[in-house]
Parts: sequence; C-alpha cells; structure tokens
Amino acid sequence: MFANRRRFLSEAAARSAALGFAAGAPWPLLASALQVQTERILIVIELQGGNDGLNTVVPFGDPVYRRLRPQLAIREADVLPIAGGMGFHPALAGFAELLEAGQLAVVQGVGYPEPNRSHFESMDIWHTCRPRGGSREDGWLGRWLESSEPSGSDPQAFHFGSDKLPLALMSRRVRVPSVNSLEEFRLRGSEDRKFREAVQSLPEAPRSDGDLLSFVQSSTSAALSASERLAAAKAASSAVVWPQSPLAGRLQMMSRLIRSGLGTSLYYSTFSGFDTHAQQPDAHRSLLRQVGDAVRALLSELKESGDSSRVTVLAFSEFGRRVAENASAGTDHGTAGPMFLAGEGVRGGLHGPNPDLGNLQDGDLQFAVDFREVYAAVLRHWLGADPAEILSGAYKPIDVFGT
Amino acid sequence: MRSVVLCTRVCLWTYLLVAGAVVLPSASPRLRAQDNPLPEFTAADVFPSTTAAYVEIRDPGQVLTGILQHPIADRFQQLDAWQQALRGPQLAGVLTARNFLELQMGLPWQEVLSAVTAKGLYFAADVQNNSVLLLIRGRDADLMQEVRLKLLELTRLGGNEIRKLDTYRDIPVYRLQQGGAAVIGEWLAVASTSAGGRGLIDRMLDSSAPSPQSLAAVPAFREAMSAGDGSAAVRAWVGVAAIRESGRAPRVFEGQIDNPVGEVLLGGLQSVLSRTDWLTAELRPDAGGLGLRVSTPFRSGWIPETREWYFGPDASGRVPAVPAVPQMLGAVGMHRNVSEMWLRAGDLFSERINDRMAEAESNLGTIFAGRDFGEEVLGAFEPGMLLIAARQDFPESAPVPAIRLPAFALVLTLKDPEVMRPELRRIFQSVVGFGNIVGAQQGQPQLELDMQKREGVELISARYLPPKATSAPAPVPLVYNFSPTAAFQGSRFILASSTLFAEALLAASDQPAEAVNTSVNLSVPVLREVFRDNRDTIVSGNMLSKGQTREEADAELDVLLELLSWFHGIRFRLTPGEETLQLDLDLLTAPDIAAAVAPPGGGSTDAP
Amino acid sequence: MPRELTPEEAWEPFVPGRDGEWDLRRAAHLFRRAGFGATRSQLEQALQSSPEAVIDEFLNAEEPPEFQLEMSQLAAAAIAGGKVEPLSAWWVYRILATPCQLLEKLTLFWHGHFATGADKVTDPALMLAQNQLLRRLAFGGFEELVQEVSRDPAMLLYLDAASSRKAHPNENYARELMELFCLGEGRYSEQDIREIARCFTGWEVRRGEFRFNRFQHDVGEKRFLGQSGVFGGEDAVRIVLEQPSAPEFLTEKLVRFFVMDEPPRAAALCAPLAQQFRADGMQIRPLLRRIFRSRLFFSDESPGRRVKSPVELAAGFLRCLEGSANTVELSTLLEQVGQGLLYPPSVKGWDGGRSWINSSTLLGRSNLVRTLLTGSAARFGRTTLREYLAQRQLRGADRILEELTMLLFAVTPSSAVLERIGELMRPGTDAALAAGVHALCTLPEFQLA
Repeated sequence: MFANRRRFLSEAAARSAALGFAAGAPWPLLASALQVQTERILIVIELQGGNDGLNTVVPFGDPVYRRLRPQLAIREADVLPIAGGMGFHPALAGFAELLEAGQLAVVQGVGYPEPNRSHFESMDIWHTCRPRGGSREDGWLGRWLESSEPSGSDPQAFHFGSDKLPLALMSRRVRVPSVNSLEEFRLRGSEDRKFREAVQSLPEAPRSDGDLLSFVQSSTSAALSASERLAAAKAASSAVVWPQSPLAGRLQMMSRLIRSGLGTSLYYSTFSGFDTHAQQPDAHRSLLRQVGDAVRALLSELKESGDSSRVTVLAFSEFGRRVAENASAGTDHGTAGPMFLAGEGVRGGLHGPNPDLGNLQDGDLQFAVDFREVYAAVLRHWLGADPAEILSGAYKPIDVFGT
Repeated sequence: MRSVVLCTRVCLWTYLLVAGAVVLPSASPRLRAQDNPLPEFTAADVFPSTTAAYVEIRDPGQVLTGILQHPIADRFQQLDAWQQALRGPQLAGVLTARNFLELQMGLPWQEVLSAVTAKGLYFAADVQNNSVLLLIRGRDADLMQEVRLKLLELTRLGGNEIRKLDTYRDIPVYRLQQGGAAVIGEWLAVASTSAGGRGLIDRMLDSSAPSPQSLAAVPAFREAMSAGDGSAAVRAWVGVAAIRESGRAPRVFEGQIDNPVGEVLLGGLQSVLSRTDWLTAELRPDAGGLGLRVSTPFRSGWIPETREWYFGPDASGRVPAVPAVPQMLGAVGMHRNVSEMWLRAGDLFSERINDRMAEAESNLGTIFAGRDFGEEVLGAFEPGMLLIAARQDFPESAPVPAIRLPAFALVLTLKDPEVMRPELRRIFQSVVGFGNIVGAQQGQPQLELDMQKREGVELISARYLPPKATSAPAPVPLVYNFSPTAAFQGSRFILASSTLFAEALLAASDQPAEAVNTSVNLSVPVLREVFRDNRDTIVSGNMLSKGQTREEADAELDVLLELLSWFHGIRFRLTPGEETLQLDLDLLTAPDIAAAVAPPGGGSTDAP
Repeated sequence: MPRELTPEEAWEPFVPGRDGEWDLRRAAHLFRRAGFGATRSQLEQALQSSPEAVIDEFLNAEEPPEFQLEMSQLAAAAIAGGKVEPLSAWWVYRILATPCQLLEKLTLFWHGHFATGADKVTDPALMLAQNQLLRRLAFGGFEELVQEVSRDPAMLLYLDAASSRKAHPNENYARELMELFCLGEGRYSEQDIREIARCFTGWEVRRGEFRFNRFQHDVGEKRFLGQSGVFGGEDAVRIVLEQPSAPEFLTEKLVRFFVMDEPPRAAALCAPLAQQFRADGMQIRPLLRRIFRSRLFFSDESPGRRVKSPVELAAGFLRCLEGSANTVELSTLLEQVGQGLLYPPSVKGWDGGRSWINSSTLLGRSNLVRTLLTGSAARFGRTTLREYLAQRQLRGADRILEELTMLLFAVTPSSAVLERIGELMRPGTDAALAAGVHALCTLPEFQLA
C-alpha cells in the first residue's frame, strides 16, 4: 500500500544534497528525506457569510439582473468575460487567469433542496450533508479521512485558523490539528546549531518491529525530518509574490507544508466577511480580490516546485444571496451560488446551467446542481474514494475532472 | 535583548564606580595632568556637526542625590520584596562590589560617582558615521588620570585580556571593540568607532579655535539650545532634519502610518516630524514628580490638507471641557475630525487597509440602516471628543458582577441636535434589539430598554434582567457591568457603559477647558481601587498564569498596590502653539510623598 | 503477551521477592501510572513501606479541606469571566498541585470516558459542576456514576437532550450510553437505541439545571435488551448495566488506561477482573486495587507499554521535578498537541495509545517541554532547574542524566544517546542544561510511560 503511494526518485541524491543533509545522517532521516510525495491533495476554502454568486460570476447580459440590481449590477464594460454572457467580477483577475489556463472550473447554480437561510444551519448542511434533525457529529471530510488510510506519520489533515474546528472535518476517529503558524513545526531551540545537530543525531533505528517503542522511534525520525524539510522549504526562494491578506497568509503556509513533502492530503481554511447586507460593492470587491489573488499565487508557487499537478482547490459558500438588492446597497441571504475548483486536474470552464433569472422562486435562484454531486466528483475522481457511504446517498459525480 | 542592554549598563557603572573608588584616596604624584592644559570648551564644541542626537546631564551627582533622597527611594528600600531581593542571588554581585569599594576608601559610593562626573555627562549619536560618543567631565585632570590607570588595572584583575593600546596625537587610546577610550585633561572620552574617536580627540586638542565641524556650529542646535533656560536636569536634542536627510527610518518621516488607530493617535505628529528641523526634550524631577517636555518648532502650514482633521484648521482644534465626575479613573480628550479622516482614507491608507475599512463599513451599514458611516454617522459629531472611565458603583439591589470593570463613556457634541437625536435614538434601539436577538441565540441575558425625559435631558438606558436564582450558586456574569445608556443634554451626546455613570456625567460640572489638542489623565489612586475591587480575580489569574501559590500571588499584588500608592497620576498634553509644538508628560507623586521631599543637599541615604 | 502469566496469574497479587524487588524502578512505575509522577524523596519514602500500603494510600487518600477550599475559590474566580479556557487552566493547576494523584488521574479517565466538550456546552459553571461530579464519584459504584452523569446538565446539553421530545426522541444519548459508556459497539441493536431513547424523553435542562418534564416523557411500554416495561431513564441505565458485557467493557478500558495500551488477547486477559468487578457490585475502588497490586502491573510487560497522554507528559515532567508553570499557556499547548482539557475531540473522548503520536504532535510535545523549561513562569522547587538540581547534590551531566532518566523514563535510552546529550549539557550553564533536558525529552523513549 505505502509503496505505490510514495516513490523514490532517481535524482534523490541531488535532492537530498539540496536540502543540506549531512552525509552521515542516521538512516531514518535520510530515507524520509528522499521520499517524494505523489499523493493527491485537496485544499478547501470556506467562504463564510454567503457569497454573492451573481456578482462573482456575473450574468452581465441578463436584463433581469440589471433591473433587480440598479446600484449593484456590475457593468458589461467592467466584467472579465468568460463565455455566453457571463463574466467574472473585475476583482477576480486571479480567477480569470486560471480560467484562461484551463485550471479553473466554475460550477454554476449549486445548492440543495429546501434551502435554509440561516448561516449556521446552511453551513451545517454543507458540512455534514445531512438534513436538520439527524446526527451532526461528523462531517463529510471527516468521514473521508476515517475511510482513507493514513500514509506515514504526518497528520492526514490540517485546519488553518484559531476558530473552532469546522464540522466538515469532525469525525470520531481522526483528530484534525489546527495550525496558526508554522512556528508550531519548528523545533524550538534549533536556532542553536549545536542543539539542532545533537537532536537530529538522536533518532536510532527501531530496535524491534511493530511494538510501541519502534513506532514512536520511526515517528520521531519522521517528525524531525519534517521540521528540517519545512525549514528548507522556507529558505527556498520562490519567484511568487504573495498578496498581503490573511487568506493568502494561510495558503502560503499550506504551500510551504506541501512543498516540504508532508504526507498530509487535506488542508482547510475558512475566510469570512461575505455577509454583505449593506454597502456591498467595496467590501465584496476586496473579498473577491483576496480570494482570486491568493489562489493564483498558491497554484503558481506549487507549479514552480512541481507539486501543482497533485493539488485541487475547492471554494464554496453556505448560500448565494438574493437576486434583488436591498435598500442599503447590499444583498440578503439567498440560495444557490457558484462553486469553484482550481488546479491542473480540473476541466476548466463553466459547468452546469447558467442561473436562470427568468425562473425565480420567491425571488431566489433555483439550484441546478446538488452540492453533493460536486463532493461526489471530488471524492471519486480526485481522491479515489467511494462517495456513497461518505455522503449518505448516491449522488452522481459531475464531470469536472479531466481523466 | 533588553536584559543584555541592561546588563551592559550595570557593568559599565560598576566599572566606573569601583575604578573611581580605588583612585580617590591615593592620587599619585607620579601621574600628572597633561603639561599643556586644554583650553576651555563645552561638549557641544567638540561633538561633530553630524550629531543627530545629543544628551547632557550637567550635574549627575545632584540627580543621583535627588533620586536617593527622594521619599520614594526610602519607601522602596523598606519594601519586603526589596529586602528579600537584597538577600537573593541576583543582586549579590552588585552588593559585593559596593561593599568592597566603600571598605577600600571609607567614602560612600555616591560621592565617588559625583566626583568622576562632577562637571557633566554628555552623549552624542552620529548617524552619518554610525558612531556613538560619550564624554564625562570629572572634578579635575588628576582624578581622571587615576581613573584611566585603575580601569586598566581592574580589567587585568578581572582576568580580561588587556585591550590594545594605541596612541593618537600622543594621547594613549584603549581599544574597545570597534572604538576606543581616552582620558584627556579632565575629560573621559569614549567612542564606538575609531574614526569617531579620532575626530573627537582632534576637536578637543584643537579647541582653541571654534570648529565649524562641531555640533555647536549647527544652527538648528544653537537655536534649540537657546530656546530652553538650561535648568532641566537632563536635556536632549534631536536633529530631526539630519536624521531625515540621512535616509534612516524613512517610515517615520514619509509614507503612511497605515493603521487607523495609529493614524488617529500619531498622524499629525508624523506630518510635523517630516517638516521640523529639531526637537528637544527636558526632564525635570521635582517635589511633585517627574516632568518630561518635548518641544519642536511648529507651523500650522506644515500640516497637509489630508491631515487637517488632526489639528483642525490652523491647528485651532481644542479638547472639550472634561466633566468632573467622582472616582474618575481617567480621561482622554482629543480634537480629531474622524469623519474627515474616514472620508480621506483613500489618501491616508494603503489599499489593504482601505479594503478592511470597506468591509467594516459594510458590516456597520447593517446596524446603521445603510447610512454612510463616514459622512452621515461620524459626520454628525463635532471633532472634539472625550473618552472617560471611572470606578463603577452598582445600584442597590442590582447584581454585582464577580469581575468589576470600570464604567466608561464616550462624550461627543452633536452638530445638529434636532436632526440627530431621533436618529441616534433609533440606532441605539436597533443595536440593543439586535444584541438581544443574537444574545438569545447564545443563551445570554436579555436587555430591557427604558426611556426618561426630564428637563433638558433625555436618557435611553438598557439593563440586563437580573439572573434567575438557581440552586447552584454561580458567579454573576461579566455582562452585569453593563447597562448601556445613551443620553442627550443640549448638543452633548453621551454613550455610557452604565446608566449610573451617564447620570454622573450629566450631573457633573465641567472642569475648565484647556487649550490643548490632546489630553490624557490617569488617576493612580482610582486605578488602585479598581485593582482592589478585583483582588480575588487578579490573585487567581496570577496563580494560574504564573504557577504561584496564593501566598506568592497575594504578596506580589500587595507590592504592586504599595508601589501604586506612591503616585497620584499621569498627565499627558499635546499643545500646538504659534511657533512650537509641545508634548508634556508628567508623573505625579502622591501628596504625602511630595510633602515629604527634603530640600536638596540633605543628609546621605543608605542605598545599594 | 505476558508469556509466563495466565489471565488468572496476571491478576494475582505481586509478592516482592518472588515476583521481583520493590525498588525505585517499580515505585516510579507505580507513581507514573497511579499518578503523574514522583520526586526522588517521594519514591524513597514509598520504598520504606510495602507496595500494598502505597497503593492503598493512592486509593484512600482524601484531599485536605484547606486544599479543597483553595481549589473551589480558584475555580470560582476562573469561571467568573464566563469563559471555559481559564477553567481548563484551573484543572491543570489542580493536577499539578493535588496531594491525591490517583483521584485526579481517575477524574481525567472519567472525563475521557464521559467526554463532554465545552465548545458545545460553553457554560463554564456547567463544565465545573460535571468535573466535580466525576471527582466526587470517581472511586465509587459505576452505576451511581452513570446515573448521575445521565442527569448532568453539561452532558445532556452536549448530547442534545434538550431537543428530545416525546414525538421525536433524540437517540444521541441512548446510543452513546451503550456504545461509549457501558457496553461497547455491537452489543445492542438499533431497536434497543430507539426504545431507550424513549425512556429518556422529558429529561431536559432549564437554566443550567436538570428538569424532568413529565409532559414530554413517553410513558408507554418499552422493549429492549430482552426486557419490557414502562421504563424511565433510570431503569434504562440499570438494565444496560445488567448486561454481561458491561463489566468487561469498563474493565478492559481501565486496563488499557492504567496497565498497557495494547493488551494481548484483551478479552481473555481481563475476564477474571471483570467477573470480580461484577461480584463487587461494580465498585471501582476494589477493581483498581486489584489492578495495581497485580503481578502483571509490576511485571516487565507493563512499563513502557503506554504512550503518555499530553497531560501525563507535562504533569509528569513537572511533578517529578517540583516544577511550576503558566497553566494558562500550558492548557493551550496541551490542546495543540491533542488533549485540551474540557475540550475532547469528540463524544468518543481521546483514543489514546498510538493516536497521540504524529509528526505534528511530536514536535509540539518537544516544544512544550522547552516551554516548561524556559517559560517565564518556569521554576523548579521555586528556583531555577540548575539550582534545584544542585541542592540535590546532582552535579555534572552524567549524574543529572542518570537521575532524570530514573524519574522520567520507563524505558532507558541507549548509553550512546545519553552520551551525546551529556555533551550538550557539559558547559553547565542554564541554557546548556535546558538544551540537554529538552533533547532528552525529545527522545522516543520519553513518549512512553
């Protein structure tokens, strides 16, 4: 099982030299340094507050859109055109560039039946895939983590941020650590060279097989090696200029962990502020720019390091907003909205039917794609898992991944 | 880092003290002052014209005596904590050195120090050449020669390698890392670089002709030094123009502060720093406390239009009068036209901060029913604003929270009371209602609204319903510190954290208004009361966060309360005048301490 | 597998002499497991009496009233701000200060067993009440404990009892009662869950207190686990605990917690204990006495066969060296490495064993020790570590390492490794000592108890 998850590269020696390992390093360190990860990675960005999908992927040609949004409608001259009368918000230059490169899939009209307008309820539905009243103790990603086999001693998933662990990551068996800073992966005191060298020299080959001690011994070697590789990844310069924003900061940490060859396959971060009830234009512009620029920076940095082909970024929000604007130059809680998947593995372009503003229900968009069909695609076609059990139902994966 | 600096300082003083001590009684006839006495000059005559910062202490001995004879020093030595520290390991080295010294010469160490620095201590930082210079002028040249030799001996006794000896223009110079030290006449000169040291020695030896390359020849220095009367114990000068032109710390002088809070506090000062040539600082200890005054030239025309909101038109903005409420903990008064600042955010802040402000405005817009926050909400108030805090009283029968926070209030003036009263009333009601809905979802206590109108006063208050009794006694929650209240009185608008405090503010008469731009007052006795109110919380918090036992945490808090009892308050004032801008920071001692201050030159005190 | 010991022999009393010596190593093992750790003088004192006497001291010790008063005052102040985090720090403080180590360790076991998370309960007063309940009933009868926990407000909130109505019984508590608290997975049917959920309808929380709402209680007949009747929640608990698997389930979990993470052929090994546990009316104290006095516990099969939990790691380090720490900081560090007190990761509590260990938690554990050594509140016997060791005549790297490995390690690291660490400590400064002890506590062997 492990053998086909990790492979040894022929240029291993060159790589280890680049990482600065001494020739006399004890064997477990060297061995883990030589391993190059080939496992696929999913990065999830939760856009908290209800992103206004219609001003994200804009139906600029639709007269109903312009009529219902006299103040907020994005003008045709400003949008970044996609196709068929749809265009990105002008702040989404990052997304437009990814789309151009065929690395961004936009799934239109994603939602679920009997939409709930409470932030908490709706987010819980997205996280657990279960309707109200059922058990809400675990989430879809947590269930996936339970069903998948951990590779090596690195955590299976990381949550970025100091807030409560998202329900999506909860499970009974797998604990997902929260990361606030990469300092947590640096061995304290290792700025002292003597100490660092001494500690790195301490791990010994496991004395026997399978018992607790040998398990802890090999885990310690892996941990010390991960710490060293992370320091090397930090030192390795990158041509990418990261934007200054909290989201970019987190994606940058993820990039560093991925580039240092950690065996973690799931990274999760929330990004809040999308509840734009009033004075929406400036706020929404800023939020979208942060998302687009950060995702673009992440994928280009991973391309430099050769890791981009094994990463997919998924961005979702608990609901879209109402089609008509309100009197405070804002929008209120709505229903369906677009979802985004980015990476070299996706089939770029628009998926699902464009929003039909001529067929609203109580002034809200009707959903065209169930979010579980997108999850199913991610599970089956990207992560290679069986979606039925994880999603508690048979959902047909939509066709967003190339083969 | 900090501790390293501290240690270096302590070591230097110990060196000087011990050296001086060993020297005094044994002035050797073999060692004489230089054959050709130096002409008379001042430190400024020999410091370079590229000096960016200069400090002078004319009579360090007097400053030291003042400190040691101050009643606070006396009380400090009576502290149990200090007595214990004296017996502890940390101070052992210093004490041994002191005892050794006093034994050797039968003179108190203070007198030694006074002699070595009898004619002043001077310091200069030369930014252009990256060097730091120190001049100490002793009682006479013989004494200083002795210091030189004894220092040398001491280094040898301490087991340190003897620094290489150079001579420069026949003066023996001792190498210290990159720099050196030399004794010339009654002066001890120390430089952090050899170039800086050579320049200093040149000017000292050639001082019969005033050098155009000296600090004293710099117009900005002469102008600044003639402005003061020279009576301050410590005087400092900073050549702002020199630093600015050297390209150091560009962020201080140009660019943006790029932080709204920082901008409100410091924005206007940054504009002054980017134009002024110099500033001076004077430190004056006296019976009532310690005063620091920073002055700099100032013209209202220096302030760019984008920052007019800070000082007001022609720098005429003044703080409003502060109401004299009982148990006032502190007050901050400012003239800041924040509405204008908000609207000019595009010029003042980076795109990143503007993005944050746009997001904030979107959130605030929900509460303010879509009104423009900068123009319509902030713009409804005059620029003079007050933030006042006081120790809180609780109404009888009201639950007293386990943690007693001070009450605080924002006091503002409405531009158009008739229009804004109903608006603000509605906003206040909406916020309370919104808070109740959110609070109900989280199981928080609910607020109940109440309105009162009486002569000239309108009061809208909200109070938390008292908690229902339960069988398990639980501490009264923090929220019972708050009974949010909005009050209108003429054009005055008060937003207070508690109804009683709003009432106290309405009833208070104003203290005389001050012609200053910013004022801050903090009452230490009230602060002490606030600490005492929360003694149990503080002690428990320290037990958890310092791993202390209750006895240890109790003792530590007692020391803090004792220290606080020596002080009366802290005052800060920012005053833009016609031609100068003044910052005053005063630390006021408690009245009983101030009354006990002995006239200078009294008996000696026993201090380590 | 205890090769020479049959399950019956495993739980026979340890006889010093026949089964090995009552020495420092065994005393340290007992203190690490029945408590968190001991200083050398505590160990030497223990050697003055018999293992039985020391174990009875652990089992019967009562907290002095002044200690209880001090802790309840501190707890009241900790919850005054309405937040749970200070209460988490309070528990760390209590663990470090308590004279009754086993009581505290057992309370920690029950907290993991009846896991209740403050992120959902949010009210510190309720979390404190549950914590005190677990401590009060820790050694007594298991049924009384389950009955009390079933009406504990924090538990009822955590498992959604508030939303359990006659028409829609919430099955959460019924499921966990059997799966996690009493029987283990697969010992009941879905039908049993539904019926037991009906028994608990009307058990509500109002204003932080348990309330029985008779209007929402289902008074119909229920059939489960082979019995039928008009049962209420108390009957449900009683009937569940009458199941044969109940004593087996708890006994095995206690053996994993106190003796070894991975007992071979666990069911057979624990069977004799479980029978006796049932015969004793499921009293906890006699069960623990049998476990600690056993030949298995003092054999070579127990030391080093458990992965230290983060709390055991930190508290053990501090208690062995009379250390004190910033407990607020320590409680967040514990959370970062997977054991936030009052914040268990799920209703299942902490899995323990190998699940404590991954590359992220190992670095975190190592960094945590560095904080204990050099943090602003770090003191050992109220002084510096160097001074503390010097007061105990421990001078020179070799002597210090010898003592520390005796106190802190169940499995002694190789001499080559100790040699390298000694090299690090050789300069003798505070910093060198901290670096050396930090390196020592980064060793894989330190993770085992």
